[in-house]
Amino acid sequence: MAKTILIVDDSASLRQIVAIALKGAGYDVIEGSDGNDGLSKLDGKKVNLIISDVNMPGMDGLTMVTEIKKMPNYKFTPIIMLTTEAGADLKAQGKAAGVKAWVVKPFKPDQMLDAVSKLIVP
Amino acid sequence: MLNIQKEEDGKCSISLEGEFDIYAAAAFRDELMPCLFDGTSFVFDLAAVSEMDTSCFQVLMQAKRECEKVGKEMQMVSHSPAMLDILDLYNMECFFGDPLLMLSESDNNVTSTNYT
Amino acid sequence: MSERPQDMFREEASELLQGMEDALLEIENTPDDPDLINAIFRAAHTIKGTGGVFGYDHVQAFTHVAENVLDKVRDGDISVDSNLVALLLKCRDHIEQLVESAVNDEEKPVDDVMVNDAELLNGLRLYLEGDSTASSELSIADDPVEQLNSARYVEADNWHISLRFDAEVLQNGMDPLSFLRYLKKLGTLVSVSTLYDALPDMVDLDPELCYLGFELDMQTDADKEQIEQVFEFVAELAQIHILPPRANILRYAEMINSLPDDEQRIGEILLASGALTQRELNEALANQNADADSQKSLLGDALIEDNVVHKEIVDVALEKQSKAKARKASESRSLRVDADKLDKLINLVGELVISGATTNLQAQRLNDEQLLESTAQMSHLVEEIRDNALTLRMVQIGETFNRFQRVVRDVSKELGKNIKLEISGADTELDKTVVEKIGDPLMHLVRNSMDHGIESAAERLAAGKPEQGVLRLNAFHDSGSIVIEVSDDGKGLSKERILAKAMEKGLIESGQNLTDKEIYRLIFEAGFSTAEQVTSLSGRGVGMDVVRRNIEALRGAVDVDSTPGKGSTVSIRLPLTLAIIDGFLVGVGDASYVIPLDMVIECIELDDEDRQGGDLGYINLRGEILPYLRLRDAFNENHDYPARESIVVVQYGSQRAGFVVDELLGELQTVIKPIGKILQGVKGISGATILGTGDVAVILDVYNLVQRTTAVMGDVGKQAALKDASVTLH
Repeated sequence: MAKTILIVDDSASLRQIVAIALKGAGYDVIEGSDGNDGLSKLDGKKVNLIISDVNMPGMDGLTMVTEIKKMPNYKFTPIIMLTTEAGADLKAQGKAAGVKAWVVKPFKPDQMLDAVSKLIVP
Repeated sequence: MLNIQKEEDGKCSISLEGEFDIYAAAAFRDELMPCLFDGTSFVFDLAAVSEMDTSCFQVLMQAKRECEKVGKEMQMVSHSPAMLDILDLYNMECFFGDPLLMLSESDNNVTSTNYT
Repeated sequence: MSERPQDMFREEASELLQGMEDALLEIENTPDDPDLINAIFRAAHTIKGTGGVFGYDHVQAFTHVAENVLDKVRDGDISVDSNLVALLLKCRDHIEQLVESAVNDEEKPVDDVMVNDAELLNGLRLYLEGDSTASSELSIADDPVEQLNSARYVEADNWHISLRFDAEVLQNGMDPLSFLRYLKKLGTLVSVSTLYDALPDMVDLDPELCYLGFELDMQTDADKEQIEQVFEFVAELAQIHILPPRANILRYAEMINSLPDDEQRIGEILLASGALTQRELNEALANQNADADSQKSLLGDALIEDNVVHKEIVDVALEKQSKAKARKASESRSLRVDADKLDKLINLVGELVISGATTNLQAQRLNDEQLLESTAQMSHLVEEIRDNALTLRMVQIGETFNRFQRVVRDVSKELGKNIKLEISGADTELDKTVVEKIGDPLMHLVRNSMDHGIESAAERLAAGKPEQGVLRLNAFHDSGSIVIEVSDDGKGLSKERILAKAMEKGLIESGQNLTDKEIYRLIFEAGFSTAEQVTSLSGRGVGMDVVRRNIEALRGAVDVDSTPGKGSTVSIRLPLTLAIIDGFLVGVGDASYVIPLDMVIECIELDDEDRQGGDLGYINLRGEILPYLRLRDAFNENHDYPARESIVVVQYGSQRAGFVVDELLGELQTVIKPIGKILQGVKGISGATILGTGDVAVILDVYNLVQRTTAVMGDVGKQAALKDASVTLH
């Protein structure tokens, strides 16, 4: 069964590029446009990995992650955070929220694929 | 999902079905443990394991260790591809010592010393 | 003039190879000397490392194998014997050729060299193969655990990755499985050991926690950084140790050696070489700070203990570090200067000497006391500057002598003779320009001694001499010259043979009465060669006369002495420097001549009675016969005889003679200017100089003139002189 990845970012084009790459590699992809949308897209579905931006209108990434970590069905799901600047403050906050994996924007689709494959296989 | 059938003489047939990931791990251990204490020998049917991750694999490993410690027999049969995959990656075939039936879609050259 | 880095490499390599050769020649006597072994190893090691950086593949490939053999020698796995020394000497020559060819940008060395390459490599590999079993047995006894580990690495040549996950790794959605899977993309997982000792009893087992650890061996072309990247997301949730294959040790060691020689911290060196990643370094430093009180106070030790890097790599890095420190220390004491710059300086000092003389002259003319005082002071300073400048170019002759260790060794093998070289006076200094030119004549003399002088072992034993012949190179300073002696304890020169040969060649007339010395000296005549058997060494038609000419061109002289059955000694007498001399100025007619001051013994007035002797004659100088030469006749000065003449007594070596001159003009220090082509053929002149007045003075070739004086004064004169002397004595 193909693994499912939720990607949450306010940029639709970014979501699309990543989604195309991931789908090409054999993953199923669902998309969310911000924290709230991301949480609602989970909807009890089996999700193997969450990729999320930090800065988004509505609910930001870190808040979403904190929420996700509280949900029994998703608390162990690996999360990759996207960030433009690998700021120390931000990382510390992310760490507290339970984020271990960071990918710095901008990235090439292949780089994202590579990062994903370190955590899950299709 | 775990299906345990226990005979009068304490022989247990345990079939595993579905995803054995971290979300299932705690329940897996909790359900398996009483059976391990009561039973005399165990046969795990792994044909329907669609996913096996480290958390659940650890439970199987510890089960094997405890059986060996008290001299109970534990056998695993009908390994699914997911099961073969983790056995191969962790190089634990010998640890469990079960004959492995290699499926054609299993791409890795699993060492099968006990191939029957 | 800035050097190309390639040329610097060539220079470095040649220094290292010279050191290697010296050590190789010495090591036969003291095979266990670790310093010598190290010196040999270092040469191969450094040339390989640097050659690699330059991309000189042939150099690198060959030295690599040589280095492996030497490493085993260093570890005591291979013992040093004469076969190995012979092989390594050939390797040393070969490396030199490879370096030369590489530096000259040849794509590939010529075929001959490559054939040689293959042969030598085969020779070297014999040592490597032959020894593998012995060495592993040895280390098993030493340390079984270490042996087990290293055997595995060596055999499989794998990266070793050691993983210990934190318990909560699984809860973070990271499964060790996925990292193992990913690793397979980078290479082949040769072996995986899953460590489950930490698994608790089922009752206590929380399957959401990770209890497993892994020891992996993998083969990959990826570097340490790339492998570490696999674990980037799990870095905070695991202890990861990545140990490179043993084979990489050499690569790291090379990298370390090729780093610039800045003083660096050990961690920085390892990081720059790629042996250590930034993460590993940070971690180790953090640990170091954490247990500052514990024994793990040295970073290098801590890294080895934690299995982050191999001990060997740390050792190389430490060596590099100390070398950099040492170099820095020695840099502050010595300085490399282009020889051309020194020559320029010395030239300028020469000009300064001349213009100093001019100033002196002017001051004397003006007779201003204060001016005279200050010019005197200045002359003194100029003299000091001159002396100091000249010492800059002085080098010890030892290096030149040492080169003959190899020659003696090779030639004695070739000749089947057993000959030992003894060196003394190696610290005697002389001008670099002289050193450069003395090599060829010395080589000829050394070979000649070995070929014709020293007998075969059988002959020696029959003559009651020790089997091993001795060749001696000696140097010392003697009255402003340097004397270099090449002596042997061979059979000595045969007067009869020399005379017969000289007669045959028409060099002398039969019945001519010659002293022993004069007979011996005949060997330096053109076209003379006494070898009965033409060997590959001598008898090439290049005789001792070439040696003589070369040495005379350096304003030097060569002489020979011999005792039948005991051996011969050839002495070369050379000026310390070719640039400046202290001279004694004399006048003949209108012309001025300079006699090198250190050869002047005394000046006396020629009394009327003695003046009757003509061009050539002799005087009785305090009971000794002193032959003399009139310079006016020697140089065709056709002026009237002055009212008085003086005689300057000079000594060259053991010979004394007098030069009759019109005027004694006093001492001066002067710069030697090369003489023009026209004067070059004139015998008795070695150079020219410009006086303070602007006039040119000729510098006399004292040796030549002394020879002329004593030679032409045949038996008649000599006997007459003796009679005279005895009369006087009575």
